[in-house]
Amino acid sequence: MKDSTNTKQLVLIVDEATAETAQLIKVLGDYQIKAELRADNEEAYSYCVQHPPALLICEIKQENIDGIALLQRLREHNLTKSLPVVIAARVPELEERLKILHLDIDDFISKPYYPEEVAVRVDTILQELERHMGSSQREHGFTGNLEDMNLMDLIQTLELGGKSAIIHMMREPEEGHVYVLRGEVVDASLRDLGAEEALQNLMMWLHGHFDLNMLTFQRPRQINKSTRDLLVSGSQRIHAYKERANQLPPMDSVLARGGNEGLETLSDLERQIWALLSKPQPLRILISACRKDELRVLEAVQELLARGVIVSRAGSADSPDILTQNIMMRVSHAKEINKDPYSRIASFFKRGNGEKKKPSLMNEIPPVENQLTGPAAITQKIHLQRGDLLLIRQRLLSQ
Amino acid sequence: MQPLLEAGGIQRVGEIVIVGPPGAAKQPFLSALCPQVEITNQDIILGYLPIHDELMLYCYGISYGQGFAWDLVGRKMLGYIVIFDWFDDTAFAGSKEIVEFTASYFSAPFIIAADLSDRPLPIPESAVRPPIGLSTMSKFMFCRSSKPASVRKVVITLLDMLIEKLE
Repeated sequence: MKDSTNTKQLVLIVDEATAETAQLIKVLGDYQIKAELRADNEEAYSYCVQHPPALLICEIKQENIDGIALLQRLREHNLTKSLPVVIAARVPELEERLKILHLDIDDFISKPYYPEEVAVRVDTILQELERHMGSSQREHGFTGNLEDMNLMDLIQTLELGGKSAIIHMMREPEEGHVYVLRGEVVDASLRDLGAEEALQNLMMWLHGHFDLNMLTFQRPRQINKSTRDLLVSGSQRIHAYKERANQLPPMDSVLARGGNEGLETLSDLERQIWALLSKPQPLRILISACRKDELRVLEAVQELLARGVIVSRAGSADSPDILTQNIMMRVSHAKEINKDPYSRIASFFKRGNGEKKKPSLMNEIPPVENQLTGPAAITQKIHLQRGDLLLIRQRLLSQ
Repeated sequence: MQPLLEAGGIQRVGEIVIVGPPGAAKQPFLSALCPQVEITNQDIILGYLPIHDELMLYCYGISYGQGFAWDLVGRKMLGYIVIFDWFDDTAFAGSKEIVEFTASYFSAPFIIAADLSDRPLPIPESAVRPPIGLSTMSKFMFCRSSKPASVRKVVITLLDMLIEKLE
């Protein structure tokens, strides 16, 4: 049971006061979602910036309502730029619907609607927001290698699309997280580093794996720089990191203690590296074990190597730890899928076996008959005849 | 948005959807097919293929997770093409998930297009050129999203399925 007095569960409806909206408010109440109605742009805007609701349901065009203008203003305000918005409007024409595609919204519902359906959608969005508050549960996303797509690429992609996601990064023997909300990096975690330093270090991870989960979440903003600024400084650091790394042995090479001369002159970081090398270990592991800014660690390692305090040895270190084994297992599993091209094709034949999965974002869509002779109310303009299809076919063949 | 057809002039529009996992070559596919392609803020790609003054084919490139985009186009599309990078394991898994979803919710015909881009296959192309019928509603075929002729062939195959459905 949700707490209806909790402002996080308050939904603001920007629409005219009609029987339809009254019914919607009533049904939302059945879902323990408190809803308020505003029938004027200015009133709605003031309300949102003073008491940001959990979600906004907005009409596009009514007498005192201009949904697009309201949305633009809300996106410009710090408190409301991430506010989830559902557009509910009567937009039968394709051209109008296309305009809606250009808006930065979370969902779209055609009017007339079933209040029950709207309530389910709103409830689903609110539940997702709650569930993903600090959670890393997967909704939609993808995984990959940082060699192919590093954190900078991922952030840039999310920024361009204004998307929200939690990026889980894995590099032997460490893991880190980056939180991106509507294209803005809001937080990052790695070792004991502060958010911005964690992000800067994660940006320099050019090998390893990532797991990107597309989801909306609530998390206090710890990084205040714009994504653009972060990307610029990140690219500068990557450049510096690569230059430094080029002057060092490969990351997998094993480092060990060298001579004992000059130990008394070592800096704190250099002394830490010396202490960590009581047992030889790969440069990659050493960098992680220092739990410091990686660029500084590389500088210190380079200095120690130059002075002969530490040396590089050929060969590999001990057997992989549990995390490494886990990652290797995942990669091996992914490769397994693609071994036999014919089994790939065959796997499509197998769809339909077992229970069909409903992605949470799509729960609300009922099964639809997309027939050429479908309901005229929906497919008035899409009612192509066989001759039309033949014409399109002919056009493509003649190109 | 610059309409290719004057308002009021168009009478008949068909819509098809090109969907794929992240990284799928939806944009190259649409660019190879349509003379005009636009991308919305929601990362929805829209390609216009005018046939004549009164007939137009709209081709939407959308992502699986774009729930509201499916709401807008899913109910009205004539058919759809699930495209994925044949050489990418993650994309392959993603395409399967898409097919599970779309086939559950929409009864429109569809093509599963394995994109080879401009990379070679280890087997002769002639062996994989013909579409493979998975059911009366779906076919599997290889394509090269960078080559207009290959892209057109995928769409023509989908049209053939639609025409056959009407007969």
